[in-house]
Amino acid sequence: MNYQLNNINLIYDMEKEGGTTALQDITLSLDGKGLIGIQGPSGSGKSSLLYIMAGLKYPTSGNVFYGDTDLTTLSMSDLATLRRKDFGFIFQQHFLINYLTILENALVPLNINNKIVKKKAMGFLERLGIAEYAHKYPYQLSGGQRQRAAIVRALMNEPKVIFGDEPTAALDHESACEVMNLLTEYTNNTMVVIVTHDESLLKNADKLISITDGKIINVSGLEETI
Amino acid sequence: MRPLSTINYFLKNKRKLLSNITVIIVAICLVYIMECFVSSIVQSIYPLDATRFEYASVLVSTEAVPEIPKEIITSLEESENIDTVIPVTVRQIVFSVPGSTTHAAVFSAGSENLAYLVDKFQIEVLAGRLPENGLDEIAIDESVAKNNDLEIGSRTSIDMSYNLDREYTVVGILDSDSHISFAGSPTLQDSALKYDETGYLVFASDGHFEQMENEVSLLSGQGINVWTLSLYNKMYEKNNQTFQILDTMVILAIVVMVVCLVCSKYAQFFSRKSEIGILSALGYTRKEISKRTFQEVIFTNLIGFVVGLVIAILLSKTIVTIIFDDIGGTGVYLYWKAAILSLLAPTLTTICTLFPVNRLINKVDAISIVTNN
Repeated sequence: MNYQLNNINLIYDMEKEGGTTALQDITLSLDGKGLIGIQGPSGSGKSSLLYIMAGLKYPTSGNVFYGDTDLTTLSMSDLATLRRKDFGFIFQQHFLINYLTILENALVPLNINNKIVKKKAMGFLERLGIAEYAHKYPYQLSGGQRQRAAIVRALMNEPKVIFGDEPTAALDHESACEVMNLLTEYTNNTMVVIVTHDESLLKNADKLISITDGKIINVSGLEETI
Repeated sequence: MRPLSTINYFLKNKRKLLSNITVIIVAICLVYIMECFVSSIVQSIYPLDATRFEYASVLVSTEAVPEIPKEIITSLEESENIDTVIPVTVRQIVFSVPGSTTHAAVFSAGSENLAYLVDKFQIEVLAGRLPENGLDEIAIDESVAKNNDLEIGSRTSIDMSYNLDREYTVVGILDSDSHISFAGSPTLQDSALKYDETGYLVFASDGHFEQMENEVSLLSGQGINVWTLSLYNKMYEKNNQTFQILDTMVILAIVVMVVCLVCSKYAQFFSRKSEIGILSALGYTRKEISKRTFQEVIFTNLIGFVVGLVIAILLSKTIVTIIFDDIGGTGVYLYWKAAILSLLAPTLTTICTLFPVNRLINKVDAISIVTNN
């Protein structure tokens, strides 16, 4: 699915004098697959851009086309439905539900528990090397293992786009590279959008968007211009 | 089982379920038992005081009218509304249950009238016999006997506060809904009788009960102490305010319990803000998250109510039986009003939890949850 962002502006605290501009005149086109890296210094607006693309936030102005759908015209409820259907999320922290097992956590996006989905989840867990922890609880796993479980959860609904907001920030460099390699595996059919301030993790990115002060200053690997 | 199902949540959080349910159960038990206790007092006392007036009105002499004039009695006897007027001496015997004390009527009548009274008051002689006229004997109501720990052959104690100025030997045990007892003495001819110890039982003709009551009630204007069912009920309604105050206190107690429960439940949901936020980020609509929350709240309160009510009924049956039934009172353990008042706690808790929790769900911002942690 293609993305088209037209003149996106995001201003926080508009009621205060001047407000705080998080994104300014962002115009961007993205293909439907591949690893998209968004990088920039802290507070540059990269996470804001990801949240707008993911339908977690409305821009102050501009349009976000996901395929033919303008996300800015959808209600909160419709955006939620779209997120659950088409998107997968990996956050800086795993955000697994503590009282559910790893397998149950993987099933959360679908909220189904039958043999077929369990088999599917077990397949992902196996692929990510944590199948043996399927019936353990998040607090019984290491940070890297929990983040892998979060990846399994993000993959369960066969998303068209996976959004990762600093998904490796809580991991050591080795685990971070491992997680990135795992995500790269899914870029053949899926768009994986990763926000990070660690440039080294995006060495395999198909497209790399650099943001500073809410403006895109460089897009590499893209034909489109800013 | 669906990972986000209510049952799964409580299976994984048994302690939370238990603590939530326990509070509801305690609230229900307190309310139910308290209401049953109060109802047991009423059910024990009211029949002793009131039921005899369903059969006959009572005229008692007073200081102003130490002897009820013959012409009044004759006029009553001639009335088409009145079947019979029976002269009696009036005694009382104490009847106590926890929370209240009253007196049960002990009449003494001439032997020629005793059979008529037994028939009219639908009294059954369970054991022994009726008292001999002129002797210090008593045939006592079964409940009153139990309350005073009396049986055939035992003797009543003197209780001047209730005009019981002599010791009676129990010769019979009676059963009737009016709880009347009969004594053999003093007889109507006893010269030592005081003004408030003699009177008449006035029985209505068939279908003329109300008219009889109206006719008899007029005599109170002539200084005679008159007791009819309607007069008693009027007095009872006035005194009933005590129970209304108690009901108000029960409702206030429920409100306090509900406030505590709602605060505790809100705190529980507040601690799950991150779960709400992540579900929202993953694509669950607020409606879906609210629905899940509502199911959890309703499930807890419903289970709490059902279990609480069963425990409350069992506890009431045990406690009330020991406290009331065993001393001749009427223990109430199945009481609709108590059940309805008990239902108030889980219902109000559900309603009062849902509003703030729904507000919390609406206010939770998925982004602030995933970025602030």
